[in-house]
Amino acid sequence: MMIMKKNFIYLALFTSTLFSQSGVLIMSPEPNSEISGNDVLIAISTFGMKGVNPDNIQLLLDGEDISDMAYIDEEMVTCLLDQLDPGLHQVQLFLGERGPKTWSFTTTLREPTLKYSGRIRSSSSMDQIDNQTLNISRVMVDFKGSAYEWLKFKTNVKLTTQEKALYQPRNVLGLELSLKEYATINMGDSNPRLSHFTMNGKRIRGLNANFKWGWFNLHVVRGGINRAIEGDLKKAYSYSIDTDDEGTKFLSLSRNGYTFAQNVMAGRLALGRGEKFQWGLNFLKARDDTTSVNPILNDATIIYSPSASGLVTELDSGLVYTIGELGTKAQFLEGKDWNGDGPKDNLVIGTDLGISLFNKRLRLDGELALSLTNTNIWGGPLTLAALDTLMDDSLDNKLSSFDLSSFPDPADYEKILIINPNMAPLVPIDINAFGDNATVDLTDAVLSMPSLAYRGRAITNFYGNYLALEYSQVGPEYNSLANPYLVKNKREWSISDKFKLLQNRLMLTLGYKHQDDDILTIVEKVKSQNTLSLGLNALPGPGLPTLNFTFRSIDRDNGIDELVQLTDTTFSDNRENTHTNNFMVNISHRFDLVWSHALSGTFVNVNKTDKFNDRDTNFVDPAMSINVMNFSLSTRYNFPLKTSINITSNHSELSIGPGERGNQDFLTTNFDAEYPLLKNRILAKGGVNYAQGSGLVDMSWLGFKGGIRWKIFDRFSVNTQGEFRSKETSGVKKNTVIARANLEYAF
Amino acid sequence: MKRNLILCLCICTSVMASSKIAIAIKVKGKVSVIQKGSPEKQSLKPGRALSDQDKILTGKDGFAAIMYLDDKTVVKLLGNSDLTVAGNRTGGKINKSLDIKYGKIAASITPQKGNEFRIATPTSVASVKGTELTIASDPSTGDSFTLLEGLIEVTNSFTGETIEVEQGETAVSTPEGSLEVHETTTDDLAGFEDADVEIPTQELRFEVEDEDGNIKEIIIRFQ
Repeated sequence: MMIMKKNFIYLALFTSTLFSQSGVLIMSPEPNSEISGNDVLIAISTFGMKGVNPDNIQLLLDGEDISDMAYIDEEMVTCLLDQLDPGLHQVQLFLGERGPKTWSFTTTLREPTLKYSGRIRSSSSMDQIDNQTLNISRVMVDFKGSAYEWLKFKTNVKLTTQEKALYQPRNVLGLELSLKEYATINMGDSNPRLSHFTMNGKRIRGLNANFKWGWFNLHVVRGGINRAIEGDLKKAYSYSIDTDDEGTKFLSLSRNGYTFAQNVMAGRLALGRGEKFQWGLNFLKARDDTTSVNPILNDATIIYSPSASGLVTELDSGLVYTIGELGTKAQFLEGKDWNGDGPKDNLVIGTDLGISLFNKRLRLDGELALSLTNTNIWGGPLTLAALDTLMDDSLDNKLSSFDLSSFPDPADYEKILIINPNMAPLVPIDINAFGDNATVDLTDAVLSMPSLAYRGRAITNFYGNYLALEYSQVGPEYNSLANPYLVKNKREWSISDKFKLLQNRLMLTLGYKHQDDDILTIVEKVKSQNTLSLGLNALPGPGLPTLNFTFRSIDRDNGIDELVQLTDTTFSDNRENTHTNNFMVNISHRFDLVWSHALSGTFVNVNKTDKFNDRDTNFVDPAMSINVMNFSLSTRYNFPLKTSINITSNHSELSIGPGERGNQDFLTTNFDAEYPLLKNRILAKGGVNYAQGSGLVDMSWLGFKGGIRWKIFDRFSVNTQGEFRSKETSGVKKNTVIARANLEYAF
Repeated sequence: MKRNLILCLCICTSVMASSKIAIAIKVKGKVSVIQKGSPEKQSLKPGRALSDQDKILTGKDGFAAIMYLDDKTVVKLLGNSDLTVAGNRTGGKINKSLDIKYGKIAASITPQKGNEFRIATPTSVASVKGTELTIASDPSTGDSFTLLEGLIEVTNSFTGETIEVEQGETAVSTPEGSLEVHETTTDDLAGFEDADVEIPTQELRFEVEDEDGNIKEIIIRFQ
């Protein structure tokens, strides 16, 4: 009986396998396709078909039997043909007694030499928030293509109504040409990246070319960082009242509110291929063009009023005058005496190294850069004689204790860098590290150079372990005009490890980061921050909830331990030493209950405490506590509707002034829905949101939003959305209206 | 007993006769294949059958397109890529997955009828049912998944965070644990020009009859 049952199961399995028949799949070339006549592959899959006998398979091309040239087995038939004449071809496949499977394709002499595609997008937005209205329109044109297999081109054009002569360019006009892998040339606007410290994505208008030849790499950038801005004509001048040799009063005019055109030339010469190995030498030279700002703007205006220095005859107090009207009653100060920012000069040299090993699972990189910056070049370069008397009056051919007898004349290097007393720093290294009576260790002097920046990083990714070690230091005077967003006066090191356990079902993250400003040897009060972080993520498996947990502990100290006594009874308390715990837990679960749902709950707690307990009662306490709870539910229905509900509550307790604390509660709720129509050509979206706040500020708002994304043709679509929000704050009602529309056409 | 053995043999033969799951349909430049358990690297040629756990490596200018045997799901590898193709043959279907070590991959995945198509990288795991997408993966910087059609779920392996990515969106997942979605821009598809991942060509077909009674077809292709 047992044997019979087994036999029955085997038979059932066997027969089900036998009769699970699939059809012939044409894999290559696609029916009615147009392909190159070189290396034509004819491929057919008979996967899943039963009863296929390879010996009975016959493959014909244009009526000629090519079975002998083909690979044939039970599941596939392939035949690679070196060359086919241009024209229409027909394939016939005979599978035993079954009728032939027949299809055609066309071969051409060669692939098209010119390919292109593009996209034009326009967008308009109107934001009316309270009583402020902002209208912005943009047009973006992306056009790209290739020709002759060696040339690729790409444009980047963005035009916006935000383009104004008062600001740096908002329009983007860029063209990129690529000549195989040998050269990439960008003209117009581009965002070159030479290295982390020298130039790292700031927009440049000019030329940005990258050449590669084997192990040799050259990256050259030349163009403008800033364009010249004359500034607001109402704020272009300030004045004082001076007296000339004949005792006549006049207005002494100084230019304000301008920006010099700033030009840059930079390069990176590197040895290496791809990311496996790169060793680069970087340099950057940027200088403000002092001739780019017009000292005389006849249409600019001032409001004249006499001062303690006297009054200028024929000018009426309180009246607005254009500069052109002032005539001889005004004189223009020279650039070096202007009140506005001085023109700058900047030189950066550096080197970087990057190594990737074991299929990029081990990455080592580092960089070192030194900058020299002049914050005001109006006075021109310093001569050797002027350098001699810079720090004392004696003509002893020495700068402090530094012997200048064999020192080159700075004026000889004016084209590279204008060196004068406005250098920051004046001397890049502590000169006390030199000479027989050196008081500072040379290594310490080098590592603490104020205009030096360096970093190193090692990342490994083995066995589910992502370990990262990083160190970086940026001196307080390090400056690259082409990299203005780099945080200065900061030293930090960190170690973090993220590892996967239980077959990726459990992920643990551990990290520690130390930051301080203890770079210069003269720093007495070191600001520091230590952050310890821990993360745990559990992914038990399909159908089970996921759990995310993170904890961060942050200690912050500004190095000041004592009060500053201002008077006998008044003290200034500048001490900062706080501890912050940041805790977050999130549980998410995807499940099917009538419909498909994604449920998520999050709790966040931030608790900051002051470590000093001897504060004055009127001290503005930095301690605070924040609790946030969030709940969200997204649902996909059996019909195309998708909805989401989001509820967030926030409770904060914090200092609101000397010796005072307060509470603020906030509740926000959102409901959004989207529904596709006309086979997904139209996607309709809508939503409602409500918020209420109480405590320090009582407020509420109710908002509605809606919109559609309409794919009018396959490559032409329109996207519109609007939002209305009615807000009431402390009894005052204000409305917000936001409207946006986008058009997109691809070709 | 003898009958049982025969039946077993038939079933085993049916299941294990072949582990072929895909075929290389297009190869350009330097492309090699390493079979599971073999240290030998072989040059990949068009028409070569690929089995479960075969690893494909493309050189700097290499390009390869492979097609699964059961449903014509196509996977394209661009230059400097390392991919292991996987597939379990069950019945008349292949349960597919891709293990990307690094590189740029474009895939046009036929709806899997209840099965999940998994794409794993050192940083992320994506679950796909049927879609067209591109993946750029780098173990040191992370992944970007750009959806041209359909819907996928991307999970950052370091944080466990999961997000849905829809058509016209790109998800960026990093080893630092961040997982974000933004609207796809042309920059997201930079480097995928050779994969032809533009919106596919549409066709209109008309049949006309000439004076001799021959049927001819007019095909208008447009994008």
